[in-house]
Amino acid sequence: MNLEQLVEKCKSRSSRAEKELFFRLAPKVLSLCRRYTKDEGLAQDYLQECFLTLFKNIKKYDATKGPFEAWFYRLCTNRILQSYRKSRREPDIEFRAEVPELSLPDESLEAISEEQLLATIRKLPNGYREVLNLAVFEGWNHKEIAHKLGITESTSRSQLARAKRLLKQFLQPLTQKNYAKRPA
Amino acid sequence: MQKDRLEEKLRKSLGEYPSPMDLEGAWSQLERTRNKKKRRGAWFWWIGGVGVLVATLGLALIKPWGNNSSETLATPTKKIEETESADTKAPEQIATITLSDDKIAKEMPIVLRSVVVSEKPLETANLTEKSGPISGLEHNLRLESTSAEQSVKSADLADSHSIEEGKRIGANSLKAADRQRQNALPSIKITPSIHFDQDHFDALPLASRNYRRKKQKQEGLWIGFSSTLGIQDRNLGSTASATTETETLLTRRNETEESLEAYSFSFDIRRDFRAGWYLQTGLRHQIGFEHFEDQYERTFDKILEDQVTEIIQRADGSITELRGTVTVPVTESVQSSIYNTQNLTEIPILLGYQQPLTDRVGVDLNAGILYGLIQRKEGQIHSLATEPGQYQSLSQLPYRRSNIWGGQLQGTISYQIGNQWVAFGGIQAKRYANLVLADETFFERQLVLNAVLGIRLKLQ
Repeated sequence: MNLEQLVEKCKSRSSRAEKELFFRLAPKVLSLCRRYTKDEGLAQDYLQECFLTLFKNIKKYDATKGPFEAWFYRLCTNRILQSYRKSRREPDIEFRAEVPELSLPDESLEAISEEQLLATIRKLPNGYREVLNLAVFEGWNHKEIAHKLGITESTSRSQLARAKRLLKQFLQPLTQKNYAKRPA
Repeated sequence: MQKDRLEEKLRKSLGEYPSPMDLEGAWSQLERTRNKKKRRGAWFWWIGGVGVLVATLGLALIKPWGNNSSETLATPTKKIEETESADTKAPEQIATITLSDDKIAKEMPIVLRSVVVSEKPLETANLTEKSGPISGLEHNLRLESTSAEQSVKSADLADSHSIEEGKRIGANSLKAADRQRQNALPSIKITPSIHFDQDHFDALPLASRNYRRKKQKQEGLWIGFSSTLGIQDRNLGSTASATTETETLLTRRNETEESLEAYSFSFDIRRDFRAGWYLQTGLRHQIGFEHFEDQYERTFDKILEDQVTEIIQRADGSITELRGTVTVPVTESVQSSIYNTQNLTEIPILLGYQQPLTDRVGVDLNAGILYGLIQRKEGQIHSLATEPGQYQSLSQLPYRRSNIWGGQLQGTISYQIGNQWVAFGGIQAKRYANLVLADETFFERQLVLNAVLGIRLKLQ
């Protein structure tokens, strides 16, 4: 059964279809949730909220307007941002010091595993992480980000630039280690 | 380009990256949350229903139908607000009332107040000069008293005006009796041909009192049906521990559980006696859904068969192992998510008192004892045990009694629909005695708080 058929069945409240849809999408959605928070428990909570929102609103999905996954990820992002702002359990650390621009060799980036990359993103301060996620993964432009997060476009731009610089700084030791370990 | 490389790497690696997870566990967690939310939804509708009922009853209390408001209103403002509806149903005998000249002086300050407040000094002059029958002024009076609230608020101002103008006639103190009479005045239906008489005038509030229906406080036999929805709190002893049949020591660490949601249906028979007292009994069935996280620690003797019990080493160096059954004390810690259903069938014996508030609305308060049978049906259990093994929920343990005693306190507001039906809604609190058998060292009590909604029918 393809995804669109599954979604149609979910619209008619088939619990079996809902379960299958969950099993198919949950791991990816969990990754998305984990990108937004450092707390594993909170990520699990977000995952639940995303699927609860999905099952509640699935009838609103219109297949003619775009693929289901894109719609669902957008729904998830909005839900996570909403919950995130409500809970604010994580202290927001501001990096005031300027982070130097580093250059990482292309090959060294390839050696970094997904989990390492995810862990590095989660180390970023909340504001940087939000902007990075929205700009890089969700493909939002700075105008949209600024509107959603209640910041100015220039703040969004500078936060993204700083987030990337900081990310590189965090990744550098990993690249060196991994680069050294790679097979000859 | 470096920036793009990083972004590309991030998107490529994490865009579709599936995080490792326990799908089954996450799904069952999601199901539980959904069920909880559904139950919360049911709650919302119940509370909403009770809210609507209470609002309706409240509205009925504040503005009862019929013409029964003239004697009891405390503030003049409220009083005059009601005169518009009241005057349409004034008693017919008032139509012949006449007011003699000497009485006019006594009542005149009231007229003055109305006139001055409505800023029509011309008519005031007419009024004071004209000490004859009031009939010629009645239309003015009716007109002037339309702004009733204003007239009451500035009654004192009116007095001061009339003093200044030297037109103060008679006693104009704003005593409660005067105010009542003043307020009663606009409720009189006046036609040009009517004359007033003081005796009838004084009798006005009393006459309207006759319009008040008799409050319901009479004997009768009722049958009723009610349902409740509420939360249940289980209070457990802090040093909770017990020994079961298999000599297992059980320790419970948590003290209260507040997650039990319960609803009940009840058939009642009620006998009303004189003076508002009544006795009530019936049959009630309550179903509770219980979900709680629990942590148990138990120590038990694990019997291991065919174990080496002794090793004998002989002089020639040969070794003989003696094998047998060994008993080893084992401590097992289990953390469980338990989902139980609790069925309770009980008979309440209640003594109550009802106090009518208006002709249709009343309050009921009852208290009494409950006796019933309780059965707990084990539901889904998710356990995390330090030692793998089967673990049973409380329903299987023999220390829990199956019969249950309790007490109830209930307060409701009732509303009479027609002559025979009464709807009621309110709050109920129930407290049950220890569910654990007396010879155990710990206790478990339940407290239930419910919203009640019901209806009863008068048989005789």
